[in-house]
Amino acid sequence: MKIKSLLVASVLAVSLGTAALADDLNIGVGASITSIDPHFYNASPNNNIAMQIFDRLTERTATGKLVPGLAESWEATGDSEWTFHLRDGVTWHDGAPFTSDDVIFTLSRAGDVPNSPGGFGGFMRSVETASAPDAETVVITTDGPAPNLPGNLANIAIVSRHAGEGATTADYNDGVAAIGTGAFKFKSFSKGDSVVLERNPDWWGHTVDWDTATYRMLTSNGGRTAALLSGDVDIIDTPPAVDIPRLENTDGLHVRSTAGLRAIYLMPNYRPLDEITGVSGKNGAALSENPLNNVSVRKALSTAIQREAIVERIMEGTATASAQWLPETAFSYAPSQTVKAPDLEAAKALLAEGGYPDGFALTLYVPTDRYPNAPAVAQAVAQMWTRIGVDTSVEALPWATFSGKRSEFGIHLIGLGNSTFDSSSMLVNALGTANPEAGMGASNRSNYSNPDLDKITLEALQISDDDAREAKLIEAVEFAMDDQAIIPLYQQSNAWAMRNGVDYEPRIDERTVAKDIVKK
Amino acid sequence: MLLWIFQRIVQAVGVAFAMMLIVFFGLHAIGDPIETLIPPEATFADRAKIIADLGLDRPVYEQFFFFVKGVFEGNLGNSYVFNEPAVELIVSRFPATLELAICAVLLSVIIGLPLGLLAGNRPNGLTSKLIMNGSILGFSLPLFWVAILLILIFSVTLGWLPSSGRGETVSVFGIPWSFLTIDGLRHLILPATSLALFNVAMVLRMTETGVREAKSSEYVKFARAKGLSPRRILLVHVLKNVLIPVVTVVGLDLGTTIAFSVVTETVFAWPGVGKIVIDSIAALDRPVIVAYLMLVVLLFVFINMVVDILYRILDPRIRLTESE
Amino acid sequence: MTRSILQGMPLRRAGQFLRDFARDRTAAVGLVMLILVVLAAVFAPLVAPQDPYDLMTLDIMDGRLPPGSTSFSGQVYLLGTDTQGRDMLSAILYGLRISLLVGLGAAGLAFVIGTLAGLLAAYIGGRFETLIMRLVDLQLSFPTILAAMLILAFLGKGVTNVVLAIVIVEWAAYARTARGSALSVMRREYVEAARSLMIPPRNIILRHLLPNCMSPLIVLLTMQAARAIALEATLSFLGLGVPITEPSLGLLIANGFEFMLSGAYWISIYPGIALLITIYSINLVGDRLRRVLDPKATLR
Repeated sequence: MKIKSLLVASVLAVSLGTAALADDLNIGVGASITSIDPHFYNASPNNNIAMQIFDRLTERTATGKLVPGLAESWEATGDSEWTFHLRDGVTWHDGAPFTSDDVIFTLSRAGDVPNSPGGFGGFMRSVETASAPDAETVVITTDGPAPNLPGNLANIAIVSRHAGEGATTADYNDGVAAIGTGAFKFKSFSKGDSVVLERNPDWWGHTVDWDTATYRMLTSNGGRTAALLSGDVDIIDTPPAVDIPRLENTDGLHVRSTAGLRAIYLMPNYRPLDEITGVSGKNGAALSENPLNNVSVRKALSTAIQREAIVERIMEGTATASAQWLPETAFSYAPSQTVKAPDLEAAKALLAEGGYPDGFALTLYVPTDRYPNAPAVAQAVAQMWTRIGVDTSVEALPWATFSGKRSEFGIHLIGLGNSTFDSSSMLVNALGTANPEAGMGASNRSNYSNPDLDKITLEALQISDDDAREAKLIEAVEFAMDDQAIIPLYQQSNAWAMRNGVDYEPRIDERTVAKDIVKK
Repeated sequence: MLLWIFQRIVQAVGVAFAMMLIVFFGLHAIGDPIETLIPPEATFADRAKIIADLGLDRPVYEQFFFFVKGVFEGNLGNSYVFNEPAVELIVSRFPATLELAICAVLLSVIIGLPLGLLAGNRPNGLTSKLIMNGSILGFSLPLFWVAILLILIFSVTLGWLPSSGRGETVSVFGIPWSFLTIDGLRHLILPATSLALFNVAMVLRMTETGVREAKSSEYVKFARAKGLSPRRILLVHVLKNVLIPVVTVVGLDLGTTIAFSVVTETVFAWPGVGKIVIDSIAALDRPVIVAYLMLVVLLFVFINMVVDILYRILDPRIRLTESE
Repeated sequence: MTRSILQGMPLRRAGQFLRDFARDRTAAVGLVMLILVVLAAVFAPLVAPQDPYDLMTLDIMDGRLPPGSTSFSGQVYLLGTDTQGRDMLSAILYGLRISLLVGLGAAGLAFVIGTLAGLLAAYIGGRFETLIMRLVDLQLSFPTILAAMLILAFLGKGVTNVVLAIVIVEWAAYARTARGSALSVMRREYVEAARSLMIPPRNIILRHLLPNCMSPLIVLLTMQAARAIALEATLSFLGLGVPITEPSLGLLIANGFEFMLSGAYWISIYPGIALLITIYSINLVGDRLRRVLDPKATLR
C-alpha cells in the first residue's frame, strides 16, 4: 500500500513536472492543537504537528510497524545497552547539520519541559545515560534489559540543540525554535484556529505531494462534516459516527477506516466495599463483600454483553467488538481471545456460581465528553446487565470530575490509547500492581493486583527476541483475560473522510499525518 | 454625591473580591486537574514533577495568595493546556463573543422597539394581542432549543445558512471580525437571532409598558390638545421617554447576553470565550476558567456600578427615596 | 399595590378573581394547557405505554425508530424511539414529571427561603438587613447560568443538586421583592400599632406582612417557575443536570441533538415542543396574574 502510494505520488510529481500549480492541503482536525513544542504535552493533536515538523529516531507505519527514522539502524549492544546509527546528510530546516549531539540534547529535554501537563518522560523511563561516541552514533544505557526502547523512542521528536537549548514552549509556538528535520517547515500557529506548514524540499524521506499543509481545528462534530461537504477542507479526521453513512454516500467523497489501538473497556474496582461507590445489594440492601472481586461475577457481566449489537447500533460500525485490548493486526494480539456470543443463561449460571443467584445492584460510571457515544454505550450495557438480574444504573460525569474519582467508582467505562503498540501498556500501567520502584501501575486506579500477572509482565518486558517476547505478552493477555481483570467492549475505529483526489492510509494510532496524505 | 459615588465604588470592589473568593475556592473543590490531564503512560516521577510545576503541591492558602497577587498584576497564571497566559487566551477570544452579543442586542432593539411601539399604541387591538402573546413565547423558548430549531430549519432542511463557525473574517487592528464579510454575516445570523430572542421579548414588553404609561401622561395629553399629529406624538414625544429605560436595561443586559453566549457558542461552534470556557471546564484548566469568570464578574460589577451612578445623576427622584 | 388576595379571601371574591382572570381568552387557554400538562405529568405511569426507567423493557435493537414504527414485540411507538430504544412518548411524559418537579420544587423552595429572608430583613433591619441585601446584590450581580454551572460543577449532578443550584440562584429575587413590599407595609399604622403592642414578631410577620406582600410575590413565583424549568433544561443540555438514565425534557433534547443532522429529528423536536408548551402556559398564566393582581407592575 505504502509503496503503491509512493509510486502514485512520484508518477504524479513527474507528470506535473515543475508546474506552478500550488498544491495546498487543508486538513480539518477534531481536537485542539495546544502547542508546537513537541515535548510540551503528549496528546494526539500536538503529536500530529510534531510528526510533520520533526522526525524521530524510529518511526511507525500506518499499521504500527517500527521502521527506521533518523536512525538508519539500531541494535542491542549488551544486556542493557542500545546503539543507534544515525542517518547521514540530514540537515535542520535552517541548514545546520543534524548530529548525535542533537539526540543527546533531546533526551535531556523531552522529559523535562517546564509546566508540562503531561510529558514524554514515561517513554524514557528505562534510560539511564546517553552518549555520543561520534557524530553518527548514539549509545543509550538502560536500567535493565529494555527491548521496548526503540519502540518507545518512536514517540520522541528529535529537536536541535542549537535552536532548542534554553528555548521555552513559547519560542516553539512563535516558530523561533520550531526548527526540525521533518517533511514540513513551520509557518504559523494561530491558537484555537490553525497551524500552517510548508514543504521542506530537502527532506530525506519520501516525496511529499503538497506545497503547504494547513491543520484547521474544527472541534465541533457537525462543523467538521460541514466543512468537508462544502469543500473548505480536503480531509477530516474523526468524522462523527452518525454522519459516516451520509459522507460515504456523498458523491466525490470517501471514508477510510481501520480498527484502532484505542480499546474501550469496563474497569471493575477491586477495593473493599466501603472504599467504593455504586455497588450494593438490590434495592439498597447491604452486601457482605465486593462482588466484583469474584471472577465468576466478572465473567457473568462480560458474558451478558451483546458487543456486536453495541458496535452495530450505537457505534454505527465505527468500532470492532473485542475480547482483549488490541486490534487483530497488532503485536501481541492473542488469537485465543475471540469475541463470544452473548449468552444470558450462561451469565446467570455464572452469577449463581459466584454466589449471587439473584444478582445485585451496580452503578456504571461513564465520562460524557471523552469517548464517542460512551454514555449511550454505557446505557446499553446497563440494559444487558439488568436482564441477568444485576440492576444497573448509569452515572455520566464530565471528564473533569470523572477522572479524579476513578479509584472510587465501583465500575467505570474507560479507554486506553495504546502508545506502545503492544499489550504491555495496559499490563504495566493499568493492571500492574502499583509500585513506583518497579515503574508499574502508575495509572492503576482499580487496585487490581495479581503477583502472577506482574511476574509474567516483567519477564516479557526483558526479552529482547521479538517472537519470544510476543509469545510471553500473549501469555500475559490470556492470563489477564482468564481472570477477567477488565471487561473489554470494543476497539474504536480510526476513520478519515476525504474528497476523491486525496487518499490516506488509515493509521491505527489516530494520527493525521500530512506528509503521508497523497494525491490520487 | 461624590461620597456616594465613592461608596458605590468601594462596594463594587467588595463584591468583586467576594466573587474572587468564591470562584477560587469553588474551583478548588472540583476534580483534580492532574488526573484530567496526565497521559496514562506517565510515571510516578512525571506525576510529581507536573504537580510541582503547576504549583499544586503548595497549601491552598498559599495558592490563593499567589492568585490574588496575580489578579493585581493582571496575571492569572498560565493555562495548563496551552502554557500561555490565561488572561491573554480569554482576551484574544473575547472579540468573537462581543461581536455576537452586540449583534444580538442590536437585533433585539431593531425588532423589539417597533413592535413594542405598535403594541403599546393600540393596546386593545388584535395586533397588540398577537404581539404581546408572541412576546411571552419569546420568553418561554429555551435558548438552546431555539438554536437547534434554527439549525434544523435554515441549515439542514432549507440549506440557506451555515450552522457553525465564524466564516470568513477580516482583520481590523489585528482582530478578526465576521460582520465585515458577506460570508461572516451569513454565519452570524443564526447564532445572533437565537441569542436575541429573549431580549427582543424584553425590549418589546418594556416599550409597550412605557408607551402606555406615556400616553396617559399630562404632556402627551397637552401635545394632543395642541393638535400635533398622533404619529409625531408617538415617534417624538413618547419614544423619547421610552428610550431611556429601554437603553439602560439593554445595556445592563449585555452582561447576561455574554454569559448566555456560552450556550449559543456551544451549539453553533462559535469560537468565542464561551467555547473555550466549556473546553476548559472539560479539561479542568483552572487558570482559564478563573480568568473568564473574573472577566465576567468585573464586567458585571462595572456595568451595574456605571448604571447606578448614571441613574442617580439622571433621575432626581431616586435621590429622594434613597433616604430610607 | 398591596391589595391582599389570600387573607380571608371569601369564595365570592375568588370567583370574581377567576372571572377577571379568564376575561383574557389566551390566558384561559394557557391555564387549561397548564392543568393538562400537570395532569399528564402526575398520571404519567398510567398514561405512558412504557416505563422508560425499566431497563428490562428497553432494547437497543429498537433504537432510533421513526414515529409510528412497530417494535419486534409489536409495540407501536407513536413518537418514535431514541438510541436506547426508549419510547419517546413515554420518555416525554416521564421527563415532564422530572422537569416539573425540579422547576416547581426549586421555584417553591426559593420562594419560601427568599420571602422569609426578605421579610426578616425588613422587620429586623440593621446589620441583618445589610447582610441579607449584600448577599442579594452579590447573587444578582452574577449571571444565573454561570452561577448554576459553577454550583453544579462543585456539587455534582443529580436532581437534588439541580434543585439546590436553582434555589441558590433564584432566592435573591424573592428576597428583594419581599423586602421592598414589606418596607412599605411596615409604615402603615396598624403594623406600627401591632409592634408597639408587643405582639410576637412571628405573628406580625405571618399575619400582617406576608399576606400584604403576596401578590407581587405570586407573580414573581410564576415567572421564576418558568425560568427554573428552562434553566434545568439548559443545564441538562450542557451535561450538568439530571442523570442520563432518568432524563428530563432538557436532557432528551440534548440526547437527540447529535442525530438531528442525520435525520432523526423526532428525538429532539418532540420533547422540545413539550417543554415549550409547559413553559409557555406557565408564562401565559403568570402574565395574566400580573395584570389582574398588579396592573401597574412592569416586567422587572
